[in-house]
Amino acid sequence: MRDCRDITILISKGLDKESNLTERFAVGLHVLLCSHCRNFQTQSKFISKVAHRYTEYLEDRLGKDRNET
Amino acid sequence: MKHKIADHWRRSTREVVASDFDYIDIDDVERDEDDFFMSNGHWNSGPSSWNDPEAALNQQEFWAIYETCHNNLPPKMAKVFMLRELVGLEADEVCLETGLSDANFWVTMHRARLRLRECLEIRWFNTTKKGKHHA
Repeated sequence: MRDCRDITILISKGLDKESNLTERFAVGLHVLLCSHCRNFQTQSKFISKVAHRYTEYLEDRLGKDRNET
Repeated sequence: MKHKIADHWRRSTREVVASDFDYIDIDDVERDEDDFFMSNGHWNSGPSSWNDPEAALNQQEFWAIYETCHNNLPPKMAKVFMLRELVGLEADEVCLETGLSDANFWVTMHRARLRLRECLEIRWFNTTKKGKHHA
């Protein structure tokens, strides 16, 4: 049985590279029972989304800076 | 645009040259991870659930907090995370750009996510929860 530390490593890896079936199964089973790891999974995906959106926010801000100077 | 964003980060954070990554100390990172997990591998104080995270994206103050949290990462970690998640490079491209091994890359990204998550929880989600509670 993998512990929370291992599971979060698998969750994180899964966001950067497609994980294999065994890993996905281990994660899926674990997060059914563990709300902390479930939160880590949801929130890590959210942080990815935030990072993408942040680039848009920066584009906006850098654009404005350029117009002001 | 990707390059412009990368430039912005290079200017705003201390320049980290690729050779610095040869010296990334995995033992340090693992020791650091013990702040998050106990020796039996369970969470020290696990992630709590966030109330309406999507709403945060529309709030100007949230982006300032995000920026602070990103800037609080150690410089090398911030750069790896930036290349992967902001610039959108693939894992192997980040390794190529930084000279990191696969294993160091996974550890660094895991660590960055743990830190960013915790920082956002403390500085944003816990405080907004409190704010709503008092309202």
